[in-house]
Amino acid sequence: MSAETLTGVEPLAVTSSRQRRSGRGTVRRLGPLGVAAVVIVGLLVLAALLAPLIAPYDPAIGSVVERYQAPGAAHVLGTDQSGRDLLSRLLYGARTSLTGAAVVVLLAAAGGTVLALVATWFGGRVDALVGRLLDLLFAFPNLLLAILVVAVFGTGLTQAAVALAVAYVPYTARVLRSVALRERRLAYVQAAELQGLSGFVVTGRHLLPNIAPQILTGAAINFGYAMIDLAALSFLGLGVQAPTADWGLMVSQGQDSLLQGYPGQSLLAGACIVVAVAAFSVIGERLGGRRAGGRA
Amino acid sequence: MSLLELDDIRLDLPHRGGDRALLRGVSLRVAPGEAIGLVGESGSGKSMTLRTVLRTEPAGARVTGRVLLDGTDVRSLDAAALRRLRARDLAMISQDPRAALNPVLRVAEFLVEGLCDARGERRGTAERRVRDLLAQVGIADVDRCMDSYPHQLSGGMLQRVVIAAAVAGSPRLLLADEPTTALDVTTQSEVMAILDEQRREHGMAMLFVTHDLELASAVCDRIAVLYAGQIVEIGTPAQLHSAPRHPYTRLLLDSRPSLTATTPTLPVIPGRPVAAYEVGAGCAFATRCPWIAPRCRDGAVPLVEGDGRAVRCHRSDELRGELVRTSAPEVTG
Repeated sequence: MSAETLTGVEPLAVTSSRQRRSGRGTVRRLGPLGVAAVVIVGLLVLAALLAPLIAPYDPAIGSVVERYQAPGAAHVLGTDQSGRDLLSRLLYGARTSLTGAAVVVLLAAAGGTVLALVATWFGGRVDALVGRLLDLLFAFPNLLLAILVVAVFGTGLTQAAVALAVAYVPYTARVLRSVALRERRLAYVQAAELQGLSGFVVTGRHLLPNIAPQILTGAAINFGYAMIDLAALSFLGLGVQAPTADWGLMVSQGQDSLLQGYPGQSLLAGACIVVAVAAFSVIGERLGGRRAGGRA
Repeated sequence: MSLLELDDIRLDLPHRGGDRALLRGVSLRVAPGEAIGLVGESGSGKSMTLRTVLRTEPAGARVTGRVLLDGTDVRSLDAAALRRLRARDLAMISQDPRAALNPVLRVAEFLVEGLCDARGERRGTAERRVRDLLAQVGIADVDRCMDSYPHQLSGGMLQRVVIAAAVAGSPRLLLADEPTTALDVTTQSEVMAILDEQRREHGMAMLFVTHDLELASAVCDRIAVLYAGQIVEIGTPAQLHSAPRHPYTRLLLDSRPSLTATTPTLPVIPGRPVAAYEVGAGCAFATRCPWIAPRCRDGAVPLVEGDGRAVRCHRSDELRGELVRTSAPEVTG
């Protein structure tokens, strides 16, 4: 074992199929629409983070004298029925809308992943039990479940987000279960088991990292839905409460103004929701497509 | 005392319209440190025999018979005991190393964590041991190998890693299922030599599944020839090569292309391999055997021991002279 030993190591550039994705490869796979979506999401996150710095006014304070101002020099996007600056409210609204959706997605992904891994690992009865539990959750429409939780625990962003997370768990869990099940049948997982590794290590160290891309994809797609649902809850008055700025709440508060001939608030907030949701959906879909095509 | 004892292993798989037998009574003893080759055509049950030892037979399979490892019945262990057994006493080397390694773990993570979790070793000790082993299996740049992901290494390299992982736990029994089949020919012999060397050095017994009789002869102490879910002959490589006693062994040996003799056509065994569940009464090989006699078609044929070997053929005594291979090549090992 001397001269022949080095022949085994191939230069890294030769192995292309499973090479770690380079930045340029990602851009190519996302396509122009995907890149645009990433840029939009980046801008939204930036707006949410920098809201206190870049918002021209306090989003919660307005003067009645300045109500329903048309877009102009003082108020770039005009004001609402209470004379609050719409641009400021939209910027701050991005904060609540994005954090709310993030909480929903994180909780749902965590819960779904744990359930999926437990079901896959133990299989048999545990799998069946988890399956029935998910069926039970599936039977409730998302919003209905959320309304139920809010009715019991009170209104607010936290309650609404947790309620929605519970409603989202079955979707995440079901998809991930099938992915994990497929992965579990692969030779390397069985080899790990044959090494005598504990179930915890096999699932956590071997299965989990290999289904991470699907977890990410699911989360990106769910993010969009979560924004819509949270906006809907706020619109119904069950989520974010006034005077906090939130896109869903703004659409709802803009209703009266709409009838009075000032559609600005509802339209702008609605547009923000549509754009954000579309961007997240595109990213999720591109990630998913890349995944499906990227692996033999 | 034998390390591993297979006692009349039968395996049936449920199938539409009745069960299908895959193993029809496989019995085998492996002494400590002994290497036994399991040889046969596809579907003869050689891999399935390994899987009954590891308890990884297909879901729904019904297995009867006993698998004793050091007197412990492997088939009746609970999950925790089975895990301990796999961590301590058994190691598996499979066909395709690329499939057997987690694509997202570096080699170091895979090897070190395996030792830590399965055998409760300390990180530092485990890492030193892993480095030693990687050097032993002929990896020149250990640092670079430890730092690599599986996709960055070649198949031969990966199989060395798998061998290192198998040896790392100092198991007493190595189960190798065609460990070189997925590798290209030039690396095959290297990897096989390393496996053989490591096995001898650590005094491990081995069950070696292959369809290559020559390869098995080179590295095994004894060879069991399987046909249709049964062992038809078992003996040392020298015994099988010079004087096979089962017609199937003889025909198997004849159908190997020889390096020295040139034949216009390569002899083949007529007919097609018979699946274990297709076998009726009588000898399983009866449908293809050129030396068939009427009594071969009825009644099961027992495996008869004698002269330190065993054969499952009614006519083995009568055919003894006829089956001898005059031009048998030199066999080492």
